[in-house]
Amino acid sequence: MENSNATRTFKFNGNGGSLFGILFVNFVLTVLTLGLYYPWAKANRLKYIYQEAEFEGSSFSFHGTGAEIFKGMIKAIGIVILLIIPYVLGLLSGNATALIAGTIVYVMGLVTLIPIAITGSLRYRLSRTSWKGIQFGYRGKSSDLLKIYAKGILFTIFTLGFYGAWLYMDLYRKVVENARVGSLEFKFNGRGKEFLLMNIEGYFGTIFTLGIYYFWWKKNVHNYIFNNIEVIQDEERRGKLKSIVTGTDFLALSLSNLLLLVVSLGFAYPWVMIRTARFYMKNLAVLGTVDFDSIVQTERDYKDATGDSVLDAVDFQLI
Amino acid sequence: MIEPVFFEAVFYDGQSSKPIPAQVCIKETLEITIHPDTSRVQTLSWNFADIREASIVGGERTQLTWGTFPYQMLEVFGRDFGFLLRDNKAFSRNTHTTFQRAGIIGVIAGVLILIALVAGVYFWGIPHLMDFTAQHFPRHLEVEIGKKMDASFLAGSEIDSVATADINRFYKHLKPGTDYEIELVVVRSYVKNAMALPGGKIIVLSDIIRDMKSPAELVALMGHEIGHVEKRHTLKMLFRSAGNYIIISAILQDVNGIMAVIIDNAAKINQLSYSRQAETESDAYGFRLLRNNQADPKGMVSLFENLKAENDISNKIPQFLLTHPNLDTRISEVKMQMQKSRWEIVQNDSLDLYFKKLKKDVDKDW
Repeated sequence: MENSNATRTFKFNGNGGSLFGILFVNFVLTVLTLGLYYPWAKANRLKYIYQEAEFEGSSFSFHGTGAEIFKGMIKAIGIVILLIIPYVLGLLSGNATALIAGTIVYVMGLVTLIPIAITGSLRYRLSRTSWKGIQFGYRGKSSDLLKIYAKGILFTIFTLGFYGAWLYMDLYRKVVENARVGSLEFKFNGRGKEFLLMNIEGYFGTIFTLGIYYFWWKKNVHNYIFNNIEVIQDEERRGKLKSIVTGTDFLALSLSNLLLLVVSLGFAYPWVMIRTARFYMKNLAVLGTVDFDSIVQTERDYKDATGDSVLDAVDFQLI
Repeated sequence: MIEPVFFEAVFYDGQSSKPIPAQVCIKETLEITIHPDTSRVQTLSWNFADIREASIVGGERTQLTWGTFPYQMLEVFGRDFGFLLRDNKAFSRNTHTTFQRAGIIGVIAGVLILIALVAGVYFWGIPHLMDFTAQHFPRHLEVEIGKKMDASFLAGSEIDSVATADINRFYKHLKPGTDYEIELVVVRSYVKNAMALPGGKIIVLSDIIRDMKSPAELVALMGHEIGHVEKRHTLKMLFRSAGNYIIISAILQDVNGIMAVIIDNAAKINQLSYSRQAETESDAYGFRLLRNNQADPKGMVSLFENLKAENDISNKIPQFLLTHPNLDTRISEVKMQMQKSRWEIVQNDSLDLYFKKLKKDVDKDW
């Protein structure tokens, strides 16, 4: 495999039955332990999903443990409680000014917390992911995302939402360009203007087609993000990601998933997850001359799952 | 000696993603030969205790990580390897990892645990919780429930007010042996029965009095019903029959809701029956009231015999099929008690007087 120019696709091997077993046991144990099992349940779930994803004949793996996530969860609960205290105090005082002040502290705290939590979550999740024995990593700092958020939210308000497209692209750029797969680096080429036009087209297209175009809009967004990621090896642009999801396929997937869920009264959820993962994976490839056999181990260990748990607590889905 | 089995594998040294061909064999440790059949051949040994993760992926490969960060990694081909390793005694004794596996066994175990849990809560947890609640229910609320039930229960019945007055006079001449305020009501009926409402009201259907031959029988009946009152059997029964609603109401701290549900259920009281244990407990009270008043314990036996004549059918059904203890069993239990504790029987003129009046009252109805 000498730096040949090739198309290398991803593959997802998981099956609904196995995932159902894992989720079911997770559910029963979480209920029996009044929720204390949740971190272990989460580790089991992520382990399965990661290990069934395959690239170049090797599976990914998730090394996180229930104990790490448990510690993170306790800290996250502590942080969220600390944030809520001023609000509760305001509520109890019966004083309108105190309540407003408490609410402001709570909302501002949450807004500040989310970018910090995203950074923490990325550092934890990526550090716990490996492929061919190569550890992934995230080198971004909390302040990076915080700055983008602060500026982005302000500009978005002043531009009546239009700046949102640039905000998104800035966030993706920061995240992608700070992610590592050992010595592999990435570059993000998404442009705010293109992204805005794509969303305007998608929005009006959806209205004019009474919703049908929605699937093409979402497929465009998905492909746009991935197709703008380049792979850098030895400081050279050696490859790029290619996502080839089509609107028709996406429509078929969405409708069949919906049908499965409705007919099974929700029990088909694991199968729906598996089908969705398989769909995105098989439509994703790496093009170019990246040498996947000579990636060097560069990333450090990072065991703090607090950020990941904060995102769980505020129900924020990262990936 | 059995030849050790070698499996084809790919080894990653944790320094780079370069795949290194390898062969692996399970012994006291995991023995890994890298670059086999070349001049660079080398043997590594992984002790089981430092294996961080082991999982069978994609249905056919086993993936293992080992050691401290950065971890070495091994991908072994052939699905048997994973099962061999998992079942290896030395491995399972020393490892800190659990093989990630989920399959039909996990699901079945989960389903069974869930079913057992739900069944346990339903058949044991809720009834016991309800008994506990009924036992600790405030007395004044119990009395209130009794009054409300009384109103709805007696709505369609004809109260014999003369007999009611006489039966209460009869009761006043007894040593009661309970701190509940007992109030008796005689209702005209062709059914031989009596029932105790929560809080102390006892309803006696006239036909059961008609068959009585001695005051002792009435004392036994009263004692039995007082037992139901004291032990809060009716309240427990109502709580059990409305268990799920009561739990929800209790969580919502909705006392009025609990009352409403119980009173709604009062209409069902005829269809419900006490447990065998409840009847046996109450029989002991009947016996006690007889003893406290030095009445003839045979009164209890003849009371049961009258009832037996009435529902002879149920006595042909073996006891284990009935929630109600078979009357024959109850009769023999009373006889046993009679042998254990004896007392001097004293004639009580007041009881005789009111018993005779009561008999006349109920016979007049016919």
